[in-house]
Parts: sequence; C-alpha cells; structure tokens
Amino acid sequence: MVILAVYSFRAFENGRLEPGHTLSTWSDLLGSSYFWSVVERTMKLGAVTVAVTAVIGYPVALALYRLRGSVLRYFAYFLIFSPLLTSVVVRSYGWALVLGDGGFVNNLLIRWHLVDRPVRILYEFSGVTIGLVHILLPFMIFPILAVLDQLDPMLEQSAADLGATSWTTFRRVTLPLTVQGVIAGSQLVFALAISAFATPTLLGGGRVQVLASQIYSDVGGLDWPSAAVSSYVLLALALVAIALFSMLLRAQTGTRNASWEYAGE
Amino acid sequence: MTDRLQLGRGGLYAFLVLALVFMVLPIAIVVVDSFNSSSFGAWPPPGFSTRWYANLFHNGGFGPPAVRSVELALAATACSLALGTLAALAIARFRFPGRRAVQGFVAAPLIVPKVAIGIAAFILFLKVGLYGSFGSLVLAHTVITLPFVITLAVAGFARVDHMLEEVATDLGAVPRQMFLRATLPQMRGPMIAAAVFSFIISFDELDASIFLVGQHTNTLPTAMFIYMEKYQDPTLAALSTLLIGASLVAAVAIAFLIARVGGIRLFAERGGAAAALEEGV
Repeated sequence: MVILAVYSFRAFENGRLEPGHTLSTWSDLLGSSYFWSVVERTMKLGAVTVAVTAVIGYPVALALYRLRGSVLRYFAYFLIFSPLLTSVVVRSYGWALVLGDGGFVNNLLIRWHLVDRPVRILYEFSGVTIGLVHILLPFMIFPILAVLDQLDPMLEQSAADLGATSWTTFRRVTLPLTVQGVIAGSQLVFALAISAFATPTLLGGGRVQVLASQIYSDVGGLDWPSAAVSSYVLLALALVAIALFSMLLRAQTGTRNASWEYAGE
Repeated sequence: MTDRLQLGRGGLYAFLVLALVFMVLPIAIVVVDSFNSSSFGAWPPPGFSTRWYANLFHNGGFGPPAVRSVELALAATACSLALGTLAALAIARFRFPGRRAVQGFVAAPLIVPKVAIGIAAFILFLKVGLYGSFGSLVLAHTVITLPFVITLAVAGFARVDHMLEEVATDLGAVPRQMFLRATLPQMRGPMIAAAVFSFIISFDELDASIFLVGQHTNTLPTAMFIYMEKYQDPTLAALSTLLIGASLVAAVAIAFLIARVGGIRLFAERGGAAAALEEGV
C-alpha cells in the first residue's frame, strides 16, 4: 500500500518529465527577459508578503500571548482563522469589492477628501499583496505564538526586577528568544506566497503575472513545455527557499519549533 | 505596573483589534454585497434585494459543480483514509529499509506547489486518456490529501496504548481481531480529524483542479474561479454567503464532534500546521 501511494507520486513526476521538451525551451525561456521579470516579481511578492505579515503578525501574536487564559483569546483565534473557512475565490472576491475603484476603501478616501480620484489598488501589485497578506497572516501568527507560549514568564519578570524597562525587556529578552518563531513563520509564508495561484490571478486581473499564473496561461495557450519549465523553476525556488530558511532556523537555537518539520514529520 | 507599560499594552490591543478588522473585512463585505441591488457591486449599496440569490438558483449553473465537489471530497477522503492509515501503520510500526525516504516521499506533495502537481497530473492524465474523468480528480485529490492523513495517523498510532493490544492477544484475539477491536478504536480521534481535514482540503482545492477539470466537469471552486474571471456581479457574493454560513455550521458541528471524541489536542497541534500547508492561496 505504501508502494502504491509512492508510485502515484512517481507517475506524476514522470508525467511532467515526459513531454519531449528539448533543451531549446529551457534556453529560450531562461534567456528571455520577460521570463526573468516574472520570476523577479514572484520573488518580490514573496519577500514583501513575508515582511508585511511579520510586521503585522508579531504584535498580534504578542497581544494574543498577553491575553492567555482569557476567553477573548479564543474569540480572536476564531476571527483570525475564519478566512481559512472560506474558499480562496470568496476571499478574493471580497477584496475585489473592498479595493476596487468604486469600492469600500476608495469610497472612504474620497468622502474624507484624502484623494480626488480613486487610487488604483485592485489589479496592481499592491492589491495582490494585500490579498496574500490576508490569507497568510495566520501562518505567521501561529508559529510566533507557539514559541511565545513556551517562553518562561519568569524571564520577563526577572528582567523587570533587574530594572529593565518594558521596552528593553522586549528588545533584549522576548524578541531574541522568539526569532525562531518569526523564521518558521517566514518559511511557511514565503513558500506559500511564491506558489500562490488564485490570489494573483484574480486580484491581479492578468496584469500581475507571477510564475503560478504564468503556468496557467501557458497551459491555456497550449504551450505545455514552457509551463513545465516554469513549474520546475517554481519548484526549485520553493525548495531553495525552504532549505535556506531551515538553515537559518538551525543556526538559531535549534529546530524544536520548526513548524515545517513539525508538519512534515 | 508602570504607566508606560499600560500604554504599551493599550497600543498592542488596539493593534490587535485593527488586525482583526482587517481579517474579517472582506468576508463581511461579501455578505453585505450579496444583498446589493446594484449589478456591479457599487458601494455603498444603492438598495437591497435578494435577486442575486434568485439568480444563483435559476441560472447560476453552480448546482452540478457543487454536487460534484461533495462527491469528489467524499471519494478522495475515503481513498486517502484507507491508504493513509495503512501507510501510517507501516511507517509507525515497522522498521524497513528506506523508511525515512518513504516518509519524505509521502510528504512531498506538501512542498511541491499545487500548480506544479496540477500541470503534472494534467499531462499524465491526458496521456493515459483519463483527462476530464471523475476518477482522475479523485486520484489527484487523494495524492494531495494523503500526506496529511498520514501525518495525523502516524501521530495517532504513536499514542496507541500497547497494553490494550497485548491484553487482546492474551485473551486469544488473532492479529486481525486485535487490530480491529483493540487498535482501531483508539484511533477514532485522529481518524475523524484526518477525515475532516481531507474533506475540507478536497472541497476547497482549486490550484491543481483547475488544470484537471473539463468544461463539463467543473468542481465548485473551479466554477467560481471561472465565473469570477468573467463576471463581477453579486451572484458570487450570494453563493459565498451561503458557503460561509455552511462552513460556520460545519465548524461548530466538528468542534463538538471532536471535543466528544477527545482528539482536540492532536487536532489543534498537528492539524493546524498541516492544514496551513494545504490551504489554497
């Protein structure tokens, strides 16, 4: 039975290998500046999404940590997890309504006289980023929270007793001890962000091409070899990124809380 | 507690509230918009109506895909539970050469982007003439949900009390009886968790399915995706609202079920991280 399961992956990998793409597809694609612009945009999307989710996710995790033992924490959990209960198409549709030219945000901005004309967010890089941050934020918050919850409260107490201000305690004690949570979260968020398909396609409206959406349009245009090469590049990027983050994590205090290994084990 | 600390905490909680608003905003807007009388989702809604719900049921064309999605999720869940439990048993109980490699191989679909799985499966099915069939979707979804069932089941087997198995054997049970009557009942919690997750993952799967569905074999997510690429009217909001309602009901039901069976800790510990990886983005 194990072998059967294993073979099903095998067959899939072979299916991708088989179509007779000669070296020319590889060289054409890897030599084209358009292709590299797509790769660059994909990486940039991953990096920006990681940065934004970390900046928003850390304080949120910290607030949830301070709320431990309170019913409010479970209520907050529910709200943070609620987007995961809805389909990615539903979420994208919601953001299209919020960010569109005549949408919620632009309506407020114009009513408050902050801008004269609608700001273009939808179908731009910024719109795609907002959509991805929304979907991936829980994956940054939970690894950080997992590390925070294991923190010995005595440590912060001792720092305070020794005369450290709350800001110094945070900077010198809490933050360094929880960096591995941030790295673990970044690993998840980056890997998921660069392989994201639905959000960039729907919120980018064809104007924000990333590797995954490029693959989809290549298949639509019957250009399978290009799609296959792009999937290999995407896979390679994902593997390299995961390996780099794992190394970073190992360089930190150990792999105890590596959520990736946790899930894969 | 100093004033500055108070201030810091106040700021932290204020930030939390803002983040929660951010998380809920698009979903709340979808629900409101489903009653919008304007046909292009104008904001604020000029009036309210239920015409999009009527439109959804009369000419949305989402009925057959919805049924197909449910059938597909049930079939894929059954397959990956059967395969996954046995694979997990092998990994958890036996030491065989290449065990680590098998474990890594089984987890591979967690790391490989879904889009890559989709196109690989698409080319494969096209070659063997299965493209567009229901069976091909079941197969693909089984591969996608399998790592996840195995993860939960391996964790579950690790916690099985061996004493009960030994007692069963001492009382004269043959190995098959022992497995069915002493081992499996202890696996109820993890198995339910695995079934729930694999159903949800399959039901929501878009990234790989979009490559595998033919014009007449759309699943619900692919039908919605294609609809959204073409139109922007609130029919989709009406459908989404119904789905949000259904998933809330399901979430409450599952929470009760799991709490009763007692698998909640495993569910929270292992499930959260693994489910994360499968969520379509």
